[in-house]
Amino acid sequence: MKNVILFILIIFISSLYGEIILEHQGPLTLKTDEPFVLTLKIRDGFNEIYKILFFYRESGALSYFEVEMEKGTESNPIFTVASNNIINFETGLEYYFEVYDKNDNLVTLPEMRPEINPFRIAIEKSADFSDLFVRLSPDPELSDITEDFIIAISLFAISDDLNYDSVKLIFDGKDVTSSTKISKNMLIYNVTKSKEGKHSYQISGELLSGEKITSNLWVTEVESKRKEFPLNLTGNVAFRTKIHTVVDSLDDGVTDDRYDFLMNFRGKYKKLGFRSKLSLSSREDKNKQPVNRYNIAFNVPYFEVVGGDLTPNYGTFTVNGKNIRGIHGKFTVPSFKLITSYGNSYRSINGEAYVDSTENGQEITNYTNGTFQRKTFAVRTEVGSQSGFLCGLSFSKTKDKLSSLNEKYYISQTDSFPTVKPKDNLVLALDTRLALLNQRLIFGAEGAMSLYNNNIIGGTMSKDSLEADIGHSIPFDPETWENIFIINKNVEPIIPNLSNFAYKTYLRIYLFRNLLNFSYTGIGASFNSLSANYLPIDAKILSIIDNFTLIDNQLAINLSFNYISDNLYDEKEVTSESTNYFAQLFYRPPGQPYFGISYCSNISKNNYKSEEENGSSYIDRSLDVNSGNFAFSIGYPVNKIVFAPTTFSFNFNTSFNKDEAAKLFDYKKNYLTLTAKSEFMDLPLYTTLVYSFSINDNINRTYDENTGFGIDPVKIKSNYNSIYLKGAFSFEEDKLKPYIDFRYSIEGGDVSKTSQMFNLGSNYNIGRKTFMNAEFGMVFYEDNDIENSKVSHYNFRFKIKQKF
Amino acid sequence: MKYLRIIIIIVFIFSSYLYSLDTIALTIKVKGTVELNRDSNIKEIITGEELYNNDILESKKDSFAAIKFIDGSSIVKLFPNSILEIRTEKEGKQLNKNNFLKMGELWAKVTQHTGKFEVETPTTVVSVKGTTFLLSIDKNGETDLFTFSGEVLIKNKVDGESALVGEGKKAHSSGLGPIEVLDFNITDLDEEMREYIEEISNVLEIHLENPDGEKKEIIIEFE
Repeated sequence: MKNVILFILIIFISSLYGEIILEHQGPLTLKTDEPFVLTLKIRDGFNEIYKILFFYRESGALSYFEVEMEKGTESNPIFTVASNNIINFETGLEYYFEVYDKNDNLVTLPEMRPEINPFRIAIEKSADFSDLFVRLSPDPELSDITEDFIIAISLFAISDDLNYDSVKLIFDGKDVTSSTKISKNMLIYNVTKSKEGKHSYQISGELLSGEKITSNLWVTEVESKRKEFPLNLTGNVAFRTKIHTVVDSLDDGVTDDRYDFLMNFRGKYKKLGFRSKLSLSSREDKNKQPVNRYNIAFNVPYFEVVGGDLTPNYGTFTVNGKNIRGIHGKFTVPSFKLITSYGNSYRSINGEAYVDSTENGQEITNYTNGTFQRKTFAVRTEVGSQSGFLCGLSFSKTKDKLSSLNEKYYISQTDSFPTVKPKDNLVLALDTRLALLNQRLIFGAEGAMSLYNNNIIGGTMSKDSLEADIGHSIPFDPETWENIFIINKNVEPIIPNLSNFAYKTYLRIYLFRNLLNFSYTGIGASFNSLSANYLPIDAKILSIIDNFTLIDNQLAINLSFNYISDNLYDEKEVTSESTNYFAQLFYRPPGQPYFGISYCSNISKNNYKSEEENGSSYIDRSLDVNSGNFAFSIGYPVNKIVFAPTTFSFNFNTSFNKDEAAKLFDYKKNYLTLTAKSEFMDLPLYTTLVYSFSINDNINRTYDENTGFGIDPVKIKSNYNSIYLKGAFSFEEDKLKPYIDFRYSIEGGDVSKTSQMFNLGSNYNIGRKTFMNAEFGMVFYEDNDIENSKVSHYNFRFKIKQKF
Repeated sequence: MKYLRIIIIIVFIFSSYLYSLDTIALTIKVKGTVELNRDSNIKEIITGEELYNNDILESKKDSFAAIKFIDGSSIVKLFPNSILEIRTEKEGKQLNKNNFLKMGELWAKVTQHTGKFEVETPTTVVSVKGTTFLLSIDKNGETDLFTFSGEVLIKNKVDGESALVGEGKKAHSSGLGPIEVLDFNITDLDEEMREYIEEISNVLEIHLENPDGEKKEIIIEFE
């Protein structure tokens, strides 16, 4: 009987539980931005099930949440569950089911210890909404972050989908939503009296779909309070250094270190403006002309005064391009300007002692040439304006200060002749300019006259002495003019003539996309201006330059013609002239293939007729040098390389330089480069690859010093191959830009040389006011024709710049 | 049908009004006196002012405003004695900007892949994609454009003449006829402008590099 009862019980239990067959295949991942619905399918026994509970937790949590599942129908025998909590899960989902039948019997799934061994599903995070909140303020690039600042977050990107009531702003861990102003598109929170240091803030909210979204966690640093400065002061300060070491296997190494410190600032206090610059360099040497530059300027309406270094421009012929260390003034009112400068354009530098010769067992010391202190005074007045008619009158006096140098540094100790001659120079210039059509048409002319004394040692001569010396009378007394200009026999000519004059006329037209510059300059043989940059003497210069653009400025054509000749007034037997032509065409449509072509020719010659001298020697003074250069380039941007759009370019250049008259040289060179520049789309990387190849075919000839006859020419043929690679990176929104490059080159043919170059560096913008650059580089050279001829260069550069 | 039209017109006006009240920009920096003209009501503004469509900003002497649009795409700096009308249009998830610079100067930095960015002047329209530029209008309405990075398309309103102004180029347009494009350097801008762009250094550094990677640095100090 017992066995019967046991059998019936087993059958009963088996029939009871055996009818409930569960089937569950969970997803591999759950997406937090999609509705969470989980299904448990009942293969058998659907009607026997009373309820099914769904237990779930975030992976790693200690306790489970409990939800009763929703029962389906007999035709769709499933239980389902949906939960919004899961969108907050980050680590994963763990769950199990408890199935109760109508007799309150329990079956679990998984069957064994489900709370310890649950189903597990990874959470797939929803799309990142953090980028949809855009921080407008504070902007580290623009805002001065003080104790009071504004947090402004744009909600524009989600403005149509956002549940505005759900928006929360957490500032330094506190919910400050009630103090924020939330409007369509924008959330604004005014931070007041915040402590110095870092402050964090983050926005969260819900979309209308119920999804929760969170912004990035932003951090703003409030700097310590700075003392209020009564002046409005801005500027920058920079330090840079270059350490250059040369290791030469055949020679002593050289180390050339250079340090520079630069500071510029400007400011304003009420109507008083001021500015200053300071540039100090380790290259400064009291035995050379100054390298350091410094000045300070003050200005009030109409007036400005500058003390220190300045490079004023008084016109082409008076003061131009020369640094003058002294004092400078400017008075400006509408249609009138007066400027003046006084100071040194050179400082005095002593020569160095050396043993010149030995006489009777005694060493005779001599000195290298010194430099006189050179003083410049200049004044210029202008009437009119640059945009209309302008007329200017300029005057400059430049004189070497004789007493600034000990006599031994400019008088030879052996023959008492001057080795350096102190000079005196006056220049008076008049210029005028007319601008029409909103300065698209400008005519101008400048004329100047100079007096120049090449040697003022001994000072002014008396009228009688001078007349006796030059052999004819003069209509003035030199001593009367002594304080203005030293007149002695070294003034040439004593009586000014046309050769003392210089003039320039120019025309600038910019109409119909065509910029035409025309100028003609004539400089007499006796015209000198010691305070102007290099001016050729006895020269006429014609220059015509035309640039025009077509097709929406995509096609540029540049033409120029320059002609320089000496012998302005045809006073010399031989005239030298140089003619230069240049033509260039460049077509560059944006994003399309481009090409360019150019040709440049230069011809220098004179009209000297060569002839034999002394019967046995032959010196050819004739000049006829021709050079030319033809260049062609073509480029093609290939955007179809999707991951790295690349611009390929090809450049070809052929040139020659030949001495037709003396046959001293005849150089030919063909040069080509192939370049590929790529910008990677998914990487912050820019690469450059360049291959260069050139062929040189050079002929040199020298002349015998005694006979003047040419020696057999030396022919050198060589070729050059080079490959260059560069990778430049860009991080932190272009603030950090490291780069690395390498070049290997080899020369073959009649020469055999190799070189390798390697550079590693980075630019870094730290905030909006600090910039840093560091670079380390190495270059190795080797001449394979000379044993152990290895030369290595090591460079280190560092620069830091701070704006304030 | 008549009622339908009236309803459509009312809905359109109402929706335009609603849109016009959406914040579309923010002043993130204001110095001096900058006035906001909103529906003919004029008030002086400070940093943090929300700007709506069709707002007109006028900066007075020695005054300055920096504006950021809500899509985070662009910063506009309005220089002294300038008048700018903020005009935008929402197109999907993008904000198209078509501001009107009536007079004065503005500097703009525009990032790529955002809505259109155009600035209209009395005589021209300039449109940009990812660039930094300065726009200046003189008393005759003539336009000067200086491109610091990227490319800017400038187009005359009247005859449709256009020019693409690349980095380091400047363009001048009288509004009619050819647009002149030339090279420029920072010294072409007056000192005050340079200060507002924060390019106050009077040292211009030019870095040169030949195809072989050899580098030279030219440092030009200017007054």
